[in-house]
Amino acid sequence: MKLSWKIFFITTPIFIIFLTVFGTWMIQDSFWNSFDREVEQCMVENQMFQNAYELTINALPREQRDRVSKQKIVESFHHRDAGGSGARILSERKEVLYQDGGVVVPHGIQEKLDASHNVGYEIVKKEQEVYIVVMSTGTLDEYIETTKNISQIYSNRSQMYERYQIGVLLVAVLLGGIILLVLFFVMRNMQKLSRATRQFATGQYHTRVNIRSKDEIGTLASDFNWMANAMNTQMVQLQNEVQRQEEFTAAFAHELKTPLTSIIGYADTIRQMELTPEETDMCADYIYRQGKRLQSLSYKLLEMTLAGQQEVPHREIFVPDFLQEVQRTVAESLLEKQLTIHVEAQSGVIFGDRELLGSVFINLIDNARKASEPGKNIWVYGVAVPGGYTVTVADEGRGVTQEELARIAEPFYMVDKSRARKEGGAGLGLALCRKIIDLHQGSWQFESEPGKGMRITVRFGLPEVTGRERARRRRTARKDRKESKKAEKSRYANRHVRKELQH
Amino acid sequence: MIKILIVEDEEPIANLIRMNLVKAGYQCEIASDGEMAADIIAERTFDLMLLDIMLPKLNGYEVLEYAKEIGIPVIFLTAMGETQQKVKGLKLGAEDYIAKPFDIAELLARVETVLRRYKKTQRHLGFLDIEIDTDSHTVTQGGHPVDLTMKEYELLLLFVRNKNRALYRETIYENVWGGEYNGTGRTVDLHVQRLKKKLGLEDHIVAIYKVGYRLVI
Repeated sequence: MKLSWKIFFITTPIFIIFLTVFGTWMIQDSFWNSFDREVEQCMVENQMFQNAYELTINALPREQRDRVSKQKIVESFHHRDAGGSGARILSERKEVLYQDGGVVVPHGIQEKLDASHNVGYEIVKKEQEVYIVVMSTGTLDEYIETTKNISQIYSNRSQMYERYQIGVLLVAVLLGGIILLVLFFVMRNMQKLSRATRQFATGQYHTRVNIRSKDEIGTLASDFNWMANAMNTQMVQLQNEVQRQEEFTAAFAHELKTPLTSIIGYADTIRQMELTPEETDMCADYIYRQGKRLQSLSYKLLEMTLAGQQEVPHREIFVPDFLQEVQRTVAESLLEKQLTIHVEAQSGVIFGDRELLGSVFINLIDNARKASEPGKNIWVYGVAVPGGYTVTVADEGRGVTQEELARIAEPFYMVDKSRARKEGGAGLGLALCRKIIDLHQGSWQFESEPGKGMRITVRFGLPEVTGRERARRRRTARKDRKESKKAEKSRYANRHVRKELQH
Repeated sequence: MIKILIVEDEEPIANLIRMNLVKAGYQCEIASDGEMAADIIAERTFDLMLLDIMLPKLNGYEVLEYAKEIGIPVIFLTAMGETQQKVKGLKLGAEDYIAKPFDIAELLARVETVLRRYKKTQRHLGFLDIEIDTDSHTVTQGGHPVDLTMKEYELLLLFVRNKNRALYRETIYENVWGGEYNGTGRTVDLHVQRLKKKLGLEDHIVAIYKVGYRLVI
């Protein structure tokens, strides 16, 4: 059964029962009130009759008492009401001494009256009418009987019952209708929501619920939409991630298979054929070189994996010092190719990991070196810009075309394969840089034209931080600067070892 | 002489293929990018083209279009073992594909097969007094037909195509029987013995200790 019907079938009967019980009680209460009032009034009337009768009798001289008829006595103070009432005077032996011609109903009050109870009443039903009979006895040993038709209050009661029943019925219908209407409206939203959920579950991830009410259902709907959006975003991210991963794997497989083909092929040639010593030398040389290529590839790959796993400590780095450090690192290799490097940096800071960011700029300068002819210049500018800091590396090298520019940071992409191979590149340098810059929430921009050199601008934003956080960073940065000087020596040693391994 | 164009941007691989094809008696030329390959085939004719897919300037599929127009059969070389790429190449009209890395024997066998399909090879292979008709699959020795089983015939063909080259048991097995060689079976040796006996090649097919056999002429 639907929830709306459940609620309807539970609330409506309960409501009707309560309404009925309450109404009955009210009506009954008002009936008994009227009844009591009526009884009281009759008693009072009877008493007044009695008093008037006795006074009149007592006022007569003793000798006239028997001669004057009861009729006359009574008529002197009593006038019969029209319809439904009556009065009688009875003797002790139930002889009717007086009768006013009104209604007379049988009753048994007389027997119950005695010295201590001189008044009593009885409700008598006769021919669909209800009468109240009051009888009292006074000092005269005569019984006064007054009768009154009280059918009115009974019929009033049944009339009220009838009206009330109609009322309750109307209210029940109206209320039930309203409840159903409200429930259906609420449930319609619920159905919308449930339909949307089902659609979402079957893969229609663009499904959203359009419920504008501000109640709990509305909240639930907007929560659902929020969840759907969040999931969509996450799904897109995951898909992109998977795609990137696939592309990377494909490129990696290619990069791996190319040297492997040479190694296996030349080795196979050597073992299968009798070659001249020159040919054997050539084969061996190829095997060695391609083996080296695999080695360099594995190193870069390792570096990339490590960069991806690292938790980046966001420490303040004072750029002029940092760039000079980078310059010192690359100086030797630039000197070999007779290149001049110019470093100009405005005072400013960036946030991140010194070692990783260092490797970014070393890589960029190294690329510039590879692209430049001997005797050219390389510039490194640091510029403090509103809300951040940019570092530009520019060269006067070969430059690349627009199409190449778009693909330049893809893993394993090489603008000039044969030359890159000779320089010992694996095509991972810029991919690694991009990864590190992404880790630092930075961005970069390439400008280049064939033959006119290349400009790479890396922009770092300032993270939004609280005053306390900023103070903490400043403290750690100060400490960092001291430590970095110490660490520099060991880093040089490390790099030296790594170079040794590569050569 | 059969002329083969090798289109491969990786210099070591191009040289490797050339070295082995030249030794097998083919004439070779190398193109290091797609554009160069298209230019070369426009000028000169070739009997076969070995084509890499990932090439600078023009990619392998585009070069394949040119080659098809001129009517040069193409075997493409691919580092990507993805079925999709193989299917795409074959659909576009390539004769066969070779997945990198490859064995030299496999390379030669595939080259040979495609050339035979295009009737570019000699119909009759011969050495000593033995004649092999590759069309009718018949072998004659001194004019008399020799009855060989299918496997023996294929074995003989492999030896003839790899004269003076050491053939490893695994290479023989993989080329003649197909599938992975488990390294213990005597199948190869038994067939080689029978072939030697039938054709009287005891002095020419020599066993190489722990390796396999070589046809010495």
